[in-house]
Amino acid sequence: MNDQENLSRALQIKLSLGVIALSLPHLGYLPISLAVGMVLLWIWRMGVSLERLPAPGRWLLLLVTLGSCIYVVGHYGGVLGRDAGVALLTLMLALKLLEMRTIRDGYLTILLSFFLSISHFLFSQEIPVVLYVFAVTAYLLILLKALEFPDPESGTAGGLGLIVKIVLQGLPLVAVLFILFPRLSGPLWNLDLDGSSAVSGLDDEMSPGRISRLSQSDEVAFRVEFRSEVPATEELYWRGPVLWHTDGRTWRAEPPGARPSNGGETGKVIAEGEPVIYNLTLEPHRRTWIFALDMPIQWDDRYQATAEGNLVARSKLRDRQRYTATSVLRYRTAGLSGRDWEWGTQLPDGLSPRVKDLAQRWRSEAVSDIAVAEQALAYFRQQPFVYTLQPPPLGADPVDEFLFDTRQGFCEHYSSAFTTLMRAAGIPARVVTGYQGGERNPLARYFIVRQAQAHAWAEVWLEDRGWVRFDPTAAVAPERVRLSVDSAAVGERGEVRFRVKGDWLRQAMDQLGYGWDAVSASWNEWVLAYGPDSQRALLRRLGLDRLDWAGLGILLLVGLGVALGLAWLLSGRRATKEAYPENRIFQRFREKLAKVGVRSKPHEGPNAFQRRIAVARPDLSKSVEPIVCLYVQLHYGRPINDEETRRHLRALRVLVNRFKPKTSL
Amino acid sequence: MANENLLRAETKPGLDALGAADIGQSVTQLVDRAGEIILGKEHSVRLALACLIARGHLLIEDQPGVGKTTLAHLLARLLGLKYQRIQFTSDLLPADIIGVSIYDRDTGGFRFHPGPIFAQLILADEINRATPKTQSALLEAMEEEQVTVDGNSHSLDVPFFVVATQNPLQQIGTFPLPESQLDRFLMRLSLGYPDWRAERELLQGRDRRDMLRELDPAWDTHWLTTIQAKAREVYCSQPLVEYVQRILDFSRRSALFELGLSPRAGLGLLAAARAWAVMQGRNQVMPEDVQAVGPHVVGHRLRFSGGVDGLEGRSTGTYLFEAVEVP
Repeated sequence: MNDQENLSRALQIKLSLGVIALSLPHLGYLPISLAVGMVLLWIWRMGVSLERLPAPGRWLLLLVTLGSCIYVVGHYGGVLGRDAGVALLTLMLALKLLEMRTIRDGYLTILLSFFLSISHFLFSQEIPVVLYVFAVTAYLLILLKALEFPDPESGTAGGLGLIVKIVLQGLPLVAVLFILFPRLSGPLWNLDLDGSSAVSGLDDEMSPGRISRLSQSDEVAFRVEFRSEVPATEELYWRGPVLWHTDGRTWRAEPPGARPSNGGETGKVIAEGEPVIYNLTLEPHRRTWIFALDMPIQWDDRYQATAEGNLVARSKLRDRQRYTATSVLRYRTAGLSGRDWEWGTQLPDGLSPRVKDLAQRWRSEAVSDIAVAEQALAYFRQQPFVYTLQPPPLGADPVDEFLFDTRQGFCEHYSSAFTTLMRAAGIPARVVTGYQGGERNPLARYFIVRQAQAHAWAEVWLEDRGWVRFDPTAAVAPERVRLSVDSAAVGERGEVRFRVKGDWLRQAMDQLGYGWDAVSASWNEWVLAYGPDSQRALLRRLGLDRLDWAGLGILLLVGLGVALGLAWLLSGRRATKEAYPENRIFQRFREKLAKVGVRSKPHEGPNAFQRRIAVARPDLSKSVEPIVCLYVQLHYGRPINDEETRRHLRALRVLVNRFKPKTSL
Repeated sequence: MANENLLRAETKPGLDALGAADIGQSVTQLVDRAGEIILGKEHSVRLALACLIARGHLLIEDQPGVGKTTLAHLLARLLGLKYQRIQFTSDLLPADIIGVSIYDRDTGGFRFHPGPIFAQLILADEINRATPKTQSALLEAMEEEQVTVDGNSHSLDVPFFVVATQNPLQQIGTFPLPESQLDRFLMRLSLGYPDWRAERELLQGRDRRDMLRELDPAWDTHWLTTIQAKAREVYCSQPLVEYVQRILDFSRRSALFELGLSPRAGLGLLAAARAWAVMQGRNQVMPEDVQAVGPHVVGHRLRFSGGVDGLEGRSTGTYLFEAVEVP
């Protein structure tokens, strides 16, 4: 097939559609001007194919190309980096479509498209994207096949069969490479892949409205698989940042200007209950802390504990983290450092007298610290407090206004007010943020904790028990800790609704959601998170521990060999084993001739082949003739007897062995 | 006439002694003599002869005036066959072909008056002009090699060979043969215009009809039947039968064709290939023989299904034989 031949119109259109489908997901990442330009180019291309628009001239095309290059460089300040590179690639491909005319152009377009298909994974590695890219790539492969074998016999469906077959043959190779290829630690190519996209999650600051905003997001924060008995939902407090400092409105981890905390001495945890062991898969949230069930006692070496008993990683989390931790639900903490005392009793400047008075009254009425805390909880319970996602805005003194005027708030209001009250009563207290609860995926054995379950509660220092958790929100809305906030069903006036069993449609949707979550969890665990650690773990399970790089390399080669063998088995080559012995010998003869440029065609009989040889290489016809003659006798002639046949076969073999054609001049 | 043939047979070498090479030579001579009258159509003449040797019937589909009649008449003359031409018209009745029984006053019974079909080579001119009823009368006769009138069967002459012509254009008022009927014809040929040199010679030369009239037979009936018998003995090896089977299989599985080839087509393909082989002076069939006759054997039995690109100007026959691998 001549590369310079023109591409049929049908193929042009199909190719353009394939490339457009492949570029489509990138449109969202491109600046709007480029995206619009790209769409215009595509429309032009389709217009040309449908003979509605004139094809661009060479000079016009050059001009557009130059212009768009300059635009991309100008917009991104260069061509390096993910966004600029992908924009340029997408744009160039759209332009290539416009000048696509010959078969060669078709090849080039498809090969470039394969680059583009890989580039999608720089933006997202989620299953839908993978499936989409695979589907479009398969379509392009079919077109490639149509270019290579312009055979009308098999339409798109026949092409698909072949592609499926080829992909199946390649599968063992891919599997071996995936499993055995040495894995590098660290994120993919050390690129800051998620650099531009905002990640939702808990902050190390809390002010009214922060968590309630978060609670409307259905995004997964992490998934937990319990390896020991599953605690009750109201016990599931996932510990995040501990906030000490308040200015009345905003809570922060540390007072401004504090030395980078190394935590003083670590708060010692004395376990009083059964340990709970679990595996947690944390979505990357670009912050250092990781979550653990209140209160962790054992964890991975990768993480450290802070003085408050929280776990933190050494650097900001850009990869999905998977770790095992052990926690106890009943515990005591020992020792209150001077710093803790100082920070735990800090009050905002200008705290209103109403708040102070209330706290002092409780203080004087109560016999112990715990009684004060109980009094505060009772206050929340008895006064008309409302748990709502859309509380009225608070003014200069939020705690005061909330406690005495508005009385509507979300967990951050309650925990903030409660902690402030405790401090005003002279009891060390702090705010703890994190997540509360978790929904069990009924189709798998793990819990999903979503951003919607973000929560804030308080911890109060009690002399004999250490830091004790108090959840004022639970006092106001006990169902909060038993059910999850239903992010999809916030009431009109902002009243919070909880996840309860809904009608059958809702249940079906939930089931679907759980199924999907289970699939993507396994995808995360087995494909995306397959790094050096999981590789080592897998090999160990196969009994191949303590493999060094060389060993891994050898294993890889062996695996590749096996995979190639499998591919060969799958290819069905064996099935075409020659039924006729003379064909095997004659095939060698054909191959020898093919090497000197005379190729036999599959549909060509031996005599026709011989005539063609005589024309192409008259010098060979003398040695070719007896071979063809013998072959014809063996293959098409009336067999005389077995002895004779064997003799002929031998003679044919000898003749073919001796046949050594030289390349023509 | 039959006796005469038997007498002559003794002068010819016996069937067993007859070498394939002799047949090849004889065919070449015949074709050469035909070439004096039909110019530049050697291949078509050979194909028509192969069809005859394979004991099949021939359909010629072409425009008027390219020599269809001449070819049929010429074959009849050269082979020494009794020739009859039937011009098919819309009012032609089966009896006009087969014959009628007429009351004979002398014997007091019905006597059969044989129609023009009682000949050895029949030219059914413009077969698609007749009504289906008449067409099927002819086709039945072709198939059975006998006709039945008033309950009496009358055997047709042997060899019996029908050359039907069909005009592909001007289909108004015609009854095109349906596929099932086309299947009765072993081969379909189209002659096409002569090339420049041949046409010059034709225009300058003598009247072809005169030349035909003066032409002596090259073969006789016995020689023809001998060759026909010889052709049936030509060896088809396993790989060759496999090849033919692959062709049939491909035509049935391929989405390109509306309907696959019938087993009868397969038998026809082998018979025609055998005839072709014997005409080349060979005792065995080669794939090349199948390919030489193949497009003409399958051409009228296969039709491309619609909606396939890239086949413009290709016949089903040539496509099929380029697509199937020789085992």
